[in-house]
Amino acid sequence: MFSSGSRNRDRDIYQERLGTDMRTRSKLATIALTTGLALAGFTGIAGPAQADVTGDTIATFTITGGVLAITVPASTVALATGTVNAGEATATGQLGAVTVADGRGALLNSWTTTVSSTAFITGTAPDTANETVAVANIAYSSGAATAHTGLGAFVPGVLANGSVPGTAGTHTGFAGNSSSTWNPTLVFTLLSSQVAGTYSGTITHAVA
Amino acid sequence: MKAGWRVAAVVGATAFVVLITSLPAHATLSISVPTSTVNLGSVAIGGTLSQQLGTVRVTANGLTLLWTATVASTDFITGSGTPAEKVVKGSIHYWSGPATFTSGLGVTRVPGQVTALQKVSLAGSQTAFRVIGSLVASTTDWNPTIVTVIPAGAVAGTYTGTITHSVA
Repeated sequence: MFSSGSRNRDRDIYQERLGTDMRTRSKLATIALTTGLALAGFTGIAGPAQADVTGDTIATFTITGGVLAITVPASTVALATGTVNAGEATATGQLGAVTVADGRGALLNSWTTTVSSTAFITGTAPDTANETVAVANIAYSSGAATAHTGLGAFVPGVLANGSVPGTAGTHTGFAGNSSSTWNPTLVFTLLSSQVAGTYSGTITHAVA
Repeated sequence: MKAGWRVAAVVGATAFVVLITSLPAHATLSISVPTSTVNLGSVAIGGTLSQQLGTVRVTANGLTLLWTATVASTDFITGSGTPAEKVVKGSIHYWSGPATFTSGLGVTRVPGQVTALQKVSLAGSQTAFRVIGSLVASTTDWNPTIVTVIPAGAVAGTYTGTITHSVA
């Protein structure tokens, strides 16, 4: 008789069903766990809005520029020409320090200094030609700068007879404040008939 | 039995969610700074400007045990920002001064620079203010001073830059 065989088969079938159920149960448990974790993920990450941990403040300030100014030797300058005998061709002397201080704080600190002069005369008006050294007979030479501060450079001016008024010197364009000093030389061309005496005139420098 | 299992699984999931939502909050820290453009003044070349920036405030909750505020600056520029049109950040100096307003007791506060004599250059980032011990929520205000030393080679004009405060 094969009745035990049948019972085994029943048992097998029963075991099979159990197995399926177990697998189902495991699946359910897994799904629940996953859901729980996903929910937890949402709650954990979502917090208060991100607070500012850095801040920018824009600030400004103004640098004010100053002026462009020239200083010249104070009156009266006795040109140290030495002894000039009648009949000599020229008389030469240095005027003294001329200084241009550029305080404008410009991006390009360039400027031009011009020089002009009156005639040099001796005696009292009306002066004859022999008592006069005409402007056309006055030559001006700035020479190299004797002092300089800041960026840029002083470019000397040379004015031969007949060139006054003219450019006494210039400054090349660089940035910022600067200062240039020079000591110009004046050469007076004298007439053969030039009268003896002390001659006076006015030299004017202007910068722009 | 099948049904019983399923219920158990669902209950397990719920329990999980409840646990996560009851975790404690985290430490918070924030800084607020003057947002309108600040005018630091006007001076001739070679001079010095000294001007307060406005109130800087750090707010921390009770879980923030300590914090450090730092400050940095950009170069200040006029025109097209060529080297002559720039006042580098090394010429910009900072001193925090003491706290101007505080809340929260038992908080140990350390100003970055208490007086003008201790001012620091902003060539690099500097410490602006610190709290080195706190167990409570706190607010700390200070009004820093910016000292601008104008270099001799600077060009005239209006210069603009940005001063940044950060806290961590």
